[in-house]
Amino acid sequence: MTETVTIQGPPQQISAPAGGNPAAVSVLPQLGNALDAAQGAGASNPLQSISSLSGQVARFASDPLPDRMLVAGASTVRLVVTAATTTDAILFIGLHDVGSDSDVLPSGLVRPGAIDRPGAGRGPGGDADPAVSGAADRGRTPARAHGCHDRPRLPTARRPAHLHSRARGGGTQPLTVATVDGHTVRPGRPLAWLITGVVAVLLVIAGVAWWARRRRRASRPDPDLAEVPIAIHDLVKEYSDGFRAVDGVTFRVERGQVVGLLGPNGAGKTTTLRMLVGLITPTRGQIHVFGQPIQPGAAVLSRIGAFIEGPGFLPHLSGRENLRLFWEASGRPLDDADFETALQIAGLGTSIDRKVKTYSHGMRQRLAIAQAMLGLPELLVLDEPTNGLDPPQIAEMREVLQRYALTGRTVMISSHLLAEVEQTCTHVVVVMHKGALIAAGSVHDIAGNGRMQLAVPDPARAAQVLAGAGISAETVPARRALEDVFLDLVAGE
Amino acid sequence: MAVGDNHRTEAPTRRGVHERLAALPAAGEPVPFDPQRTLPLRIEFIRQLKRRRTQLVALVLLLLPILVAIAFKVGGQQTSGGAALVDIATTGATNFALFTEFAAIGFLLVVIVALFCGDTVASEASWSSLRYLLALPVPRPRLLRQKLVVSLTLSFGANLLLPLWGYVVGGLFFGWAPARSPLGGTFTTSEAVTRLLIVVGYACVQSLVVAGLAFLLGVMTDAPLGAVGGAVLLVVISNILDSISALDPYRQYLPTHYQYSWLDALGPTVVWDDMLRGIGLSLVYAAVFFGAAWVRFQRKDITS
Repeated sequence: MTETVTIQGPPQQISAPAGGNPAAVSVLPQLGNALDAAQGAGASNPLQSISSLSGQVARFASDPLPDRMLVAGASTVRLVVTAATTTDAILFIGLHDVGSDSDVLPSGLVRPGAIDRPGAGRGPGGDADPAVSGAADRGRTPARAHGCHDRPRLPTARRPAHLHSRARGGGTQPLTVATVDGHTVRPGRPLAWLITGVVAVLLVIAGVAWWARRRRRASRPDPDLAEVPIAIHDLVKEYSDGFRAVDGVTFRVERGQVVGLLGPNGAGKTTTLRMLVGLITPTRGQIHVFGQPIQPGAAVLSRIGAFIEGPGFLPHLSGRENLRLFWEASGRPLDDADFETALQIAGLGTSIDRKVKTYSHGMRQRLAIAQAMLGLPELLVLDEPTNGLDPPQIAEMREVLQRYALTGRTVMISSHLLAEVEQTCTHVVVVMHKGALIAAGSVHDIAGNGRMQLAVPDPARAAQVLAGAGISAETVPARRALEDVFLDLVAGE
Repeated sequence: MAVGDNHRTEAPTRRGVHERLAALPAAGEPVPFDPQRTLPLRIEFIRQLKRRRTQLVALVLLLLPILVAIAFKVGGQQTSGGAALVDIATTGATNFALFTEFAAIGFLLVVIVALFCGDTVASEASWSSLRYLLALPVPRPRLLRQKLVVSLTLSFGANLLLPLWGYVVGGLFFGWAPARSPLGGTFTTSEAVTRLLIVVGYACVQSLVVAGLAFLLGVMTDAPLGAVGGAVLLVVISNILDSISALDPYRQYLPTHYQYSWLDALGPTVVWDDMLRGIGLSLVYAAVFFGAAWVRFQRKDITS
């Protein structure tokens, strides 16, 4: 297709001085690169040299283009050129792309034409520029330059030559520019890329969904255990480096009990509790809570309130906002939360409306226990709940937990503090050491280990009496029963 | 230790609690629980919007166009008269909006997207609140989905806020002249808005790559900074490799290779070729990263 651009300019006289300097070298079709190479670096902008030759160039320019134009092919224009003094002048005609700060002759192409009629003449009318390809941007001006001096043609201009050049029709003349409607494309099919992308997304979604479903199907509930809060069987957690944090633990917790998980630091208590709430996947063994197998995100976890290894709050929110947002994240109705009880258990007073990051360790601890008790869960799991509490608070907490269990709910606490477990856990103690369960039973059973203690005001005399009755006896200092048992159990540490 | 108990707080429990506990109904029926209602979007939005970093990002996005506009005003005469976006930025509202988008897309928006998507899970892990959400329980795929929806909404919101606010600021500073294309021609206002939306939409799809990697790293690490930094690092490295033309047949597969292809939407006609390629490439990367994040998180032992 073609577009028409109006160019204009006054009549101009151009001369070709013999051996003019500087030489202007442009490019001729078929010869272009050779000329470029001959001229060296200066050839990079041949137009510059042509247009800088004052008096040797006639220019006709259009107004700035309103729109982008992609030029491809030869352009034509009719100009009247009158040879004044010569019979054999050569004209070079080119179409320039002129911007406010640039002036480009696309590909450096010009077209030569000869004037061979002296006196009057119409010159190379209707001639075509060399086929050029390029984009003339909006705001740029195509200009047409007539130069009549060019190094390869030097021998043709032995004498000064003068030409008159003007545009016909009162200074304006249509310039017909061959254009194409198109844009630069790269090979390949862009749509294929898009389809690949969409297919990849769909494949990944389907794959992840399928994989998640397959995992879910893996385990079944056990109806026999439906009334048992915790049933753990042969639980093992082995890390990739071969370390067994929990090694074959089996125990069971019944409703209404306050159960203690006792052991020194590193015994595997926290790991066990983490597995109990589905944070860690066991290497082997099963955990059933109310008969439902535990796996990450199991629905039965909604019946557990957990406080594991320290509090976790959003520091930029207040204690009250934390509790409320936490509960709302469960998707359960607000009325079920029983915030009032939780707030009383936290006992933070007006501090509940301050940001959590201003809280002391003990305050966070209490808030975390309150958070675990939101919704009054049937099973409360507390990991080291009394860390950071002062003695009166510990005593209060102990009573709260015991009363909580009286409602038929179950409490499990872990601790490395013997006294705490001994006083809080009315029912069962599970003792762990180095990942293994080394004793389980009531506080009484474990501490007494089946033997009775007899307290007498006068040990020496009692021993004599017993010896007389044929019973051997020895005197031992009074001691905290569970503590000694515990130390015996973990002896060899 | 922090400020501490300077209001004398009471003992953790009081007699009232004991009475309440004594009066509790005995444990009975299991509570109704629907995993699909956990962590509603509204809650996650509140959790994120109240964070200082979210507010800071909003502030930066609101201040940036104003700063740029003042810089243009103070900087005075632009005499180059070129046609690049920066040269025509002061033409009017739309051009200014396009320029702010252009200026921000290479790094600022990358950092913001990485921040929103990388830090959402990692910061929960660093606060230890992640384990309480999971034990609540919020099923893990559900947690990721809700968090991703919120993070992407915030990211895309930032992506949209910047040019829109840039449009308003540009209009106030430089008038409401019709948009000039860097490739020639002017647009009517409705055409300009359409083009702007194409640009924003394409930028959003492009940002899925960064979002995906940041999300994956955020799931793998407990350090929010690591996740954000890792994703930004990917963009920087990809940009460096992309500038090496010797890599040519393979360069086009780099995640940022088509980062600026939205410039094709500013011509007289919208050229879709490179944008289609860019979208396809981004979707592939995003699918891989997000898929890996889901699988990794499902299997992960939460030890934070």
